[in-house]
Amino acid sequence: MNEFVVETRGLCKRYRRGAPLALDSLDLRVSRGALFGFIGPNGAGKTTTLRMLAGLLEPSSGEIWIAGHSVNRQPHLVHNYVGYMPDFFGLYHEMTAWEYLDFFARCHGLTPRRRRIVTGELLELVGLAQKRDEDVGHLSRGMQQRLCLARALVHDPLVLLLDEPASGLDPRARVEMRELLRELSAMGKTIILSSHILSELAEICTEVGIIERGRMVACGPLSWLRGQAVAGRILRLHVISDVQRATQLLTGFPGVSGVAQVNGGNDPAETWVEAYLAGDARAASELLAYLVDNGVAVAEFRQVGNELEELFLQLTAGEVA
Amino acid sequence: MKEERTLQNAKKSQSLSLASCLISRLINPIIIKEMRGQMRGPRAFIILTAYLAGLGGLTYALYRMTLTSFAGYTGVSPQSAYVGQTLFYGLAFLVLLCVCFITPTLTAGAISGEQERRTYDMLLSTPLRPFSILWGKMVASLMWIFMLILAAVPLSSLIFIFGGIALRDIIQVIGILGLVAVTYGSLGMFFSALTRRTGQATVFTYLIVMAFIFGGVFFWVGSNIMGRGDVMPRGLACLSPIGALASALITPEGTLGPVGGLSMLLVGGTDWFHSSGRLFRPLWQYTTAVYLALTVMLWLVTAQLVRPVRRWRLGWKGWLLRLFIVLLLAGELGVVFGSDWGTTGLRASSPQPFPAPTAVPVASVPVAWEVVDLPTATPPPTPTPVPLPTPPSPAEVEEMLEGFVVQNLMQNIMPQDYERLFNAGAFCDLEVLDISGFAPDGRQVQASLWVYCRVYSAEDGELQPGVGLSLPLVASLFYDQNGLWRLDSYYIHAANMLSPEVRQHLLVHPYDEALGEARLRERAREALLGEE
Repeated sequence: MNEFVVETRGLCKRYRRGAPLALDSLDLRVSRGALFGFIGPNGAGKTTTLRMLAGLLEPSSGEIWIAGHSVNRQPHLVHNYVGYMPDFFGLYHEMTAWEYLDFFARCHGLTPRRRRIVTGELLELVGLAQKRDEDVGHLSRGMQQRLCLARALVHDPLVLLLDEPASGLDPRARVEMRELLRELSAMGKTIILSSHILSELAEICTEVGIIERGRMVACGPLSWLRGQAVAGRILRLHVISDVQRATQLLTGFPGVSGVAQVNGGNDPAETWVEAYLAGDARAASELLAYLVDNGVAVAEFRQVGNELEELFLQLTAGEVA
Repeated sequence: MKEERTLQNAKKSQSLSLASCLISRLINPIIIKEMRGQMRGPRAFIILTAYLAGLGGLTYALYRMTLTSFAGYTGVSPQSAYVGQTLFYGLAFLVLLCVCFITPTLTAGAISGEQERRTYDMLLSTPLRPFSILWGKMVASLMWIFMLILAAVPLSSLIFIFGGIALRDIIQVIGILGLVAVTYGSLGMFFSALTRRTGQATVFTYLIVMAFIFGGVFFWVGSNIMGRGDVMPRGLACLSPIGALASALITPEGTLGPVGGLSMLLVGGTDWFHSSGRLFRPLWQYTTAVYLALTVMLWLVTAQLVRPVRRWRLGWKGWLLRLFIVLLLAGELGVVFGSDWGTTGLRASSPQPFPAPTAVPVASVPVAWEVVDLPTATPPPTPTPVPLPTPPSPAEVEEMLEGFVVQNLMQNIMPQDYERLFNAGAFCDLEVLDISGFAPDGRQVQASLWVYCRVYSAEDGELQPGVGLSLPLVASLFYDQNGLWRLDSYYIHAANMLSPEVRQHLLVHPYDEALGEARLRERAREALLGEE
């Protein structure tokens, strides 16, 4: 059990009698130092799971262990190991950034000396050292989010539970948050984060769990998940010369299941060809070589859509009706 | 080296641990946080200024009112002590109302406010125990209330200019105000944790507070048609904080100054706190017992309600502890209410004779030492017993009351020209039914009497009867230093103030109005027409 910092077995949650299961027998294992991404659409059960892990919600059935302690039996003990950041972080008004952290440090029973050190260090870590005496309500949303993350770190927890840490942030703030998470992960924290946006944070995750309607659809390292998925991609080509010929050639290529002519690019007169290729990157390069060998003038050749998003859509396609 | 240091630290922390543990438990993070926020910004200062300005203005109004109304009654300026007492009572009730109406707004958002600000989850994911959260919220809210109560102290110290109030009174009043604040604060927190909506919690808390203040009277008036004269059961009367405060403030003579009417209305009469000699214990002691029990119960339930998980799974130890606390509370209520269970809580109006002392047999103890003869000391002079005053005769009482009663009744019946009537031809016939002892030293008596009163006028040598009325009165008389009986106060009949014998007498022999009328006519004829 020590190998896994967070472990759940058959975790179920039903909010009301007769309501559908919000979470259906979830088995989760997160090893020490992992950065686990919990990915799924809104309402899939991510927040429910994280709240149960933080000891804020009672499971209908199933068990949770955090650092070897059962959340079911010792819910108050878990608070020492877990730093939880809710999706809608709350702020106390009429409070400065420093006081905000100081308050939570006091709640965790830190000594005054330790409190002073930790407050300073954390503000430094999240890049808010300059804003120490600023009213919390006057900080930008990205800063507030980072402050909230610092808040979850005051007691130096083993596990960080972050619910949608990137939601509502502008691209720059997202990048900053991603860097911060990388840093924390490098510091040896086990991080479990949830997100409904794949591209933002999934890339930094060592492990990804895809959840859909309360059920874990797939779980594992990202590379393994990629392998699991049917390797298929949409290729988009800008053909200058003979579009008809290119279409014929593409249709004849093994692995191509569909070809369509679309208008694309900046000029509406330009003709683009889209082909759906079931195959990996090698197949795509072979396809390009084949076209060029047969005299088709290809000006541009690219893959459409994000790889992860494709993966996600594939994995959850059957469920979303 | 390092180990040595940690060892030293450990020793140091051990010696400090008890004190620091206690302090850190009492002054918890929430108190510090709330207090940092509370006094920041202009809000707190505006509220405090408005509160003190309002209080000051009302006190001044009360002061003017006291002077004018007293002069209106008696034609002379009131005694300084009377002014002081009236101001103090007025202030005490004003602050009580402020406490009753401000406390719910402060605590009704304690838990729900955190939820609405989305900080509740973050608070719960810290190792703070539910009880500490409640304690912190409570102390922080009460700090505000206590600040309001204490801010009024300098204002109430004006009273010392006039005198008439002892420090004990002030402490007692602050104690009762504090108790009310704690109880209503707990009520607010309970609803805050139960409903998780600040608006709903505020409404519910106000409803319950209103029920406490007015409910008893409404219920009692609703279930008994006015004038049946029974006393409101103390279980009902003690719920009102106003009654409790009044019972703590009341003077032995049973007056509350101009503000007495309010409390009388709210607890259905002054019976409950009228005279300390007639109650087993003052009303506020019942109130304290009930409020204390309520507060502890609310805390027990609220501490479970704020828990995010395992709300009602306590384990046998937890249940046992809570059962013990509940039994303790039941015991407390039992002791307070049980001492006079089955009675109304009021003593009969006639003084009970003191039981004769029973002789205690002194055991002969063998003495181990020599007895030395001492010179016989002269025995101290035995104090001459102060003779009890003889109660006034019915004739004396009638004579004493006649002028007052006629004037006052006329004033009530015909406020416009009572003076003319009084001087022209108002006559009244008094019939004393009973004079009973009141105070144990016999210096105070209560007289029950019938009054028949009518205005007559003479027209063309004929006697014309005008307005009139008959009613029973209870008068309280006291024996002053000069050895004279004087009228203290009188009340329109309240059956519960009469002794059972008089009540019986009233039922069996109602006042013969025809006889009273005949007597009055005789006197009117004599006075107005000069006939013999």
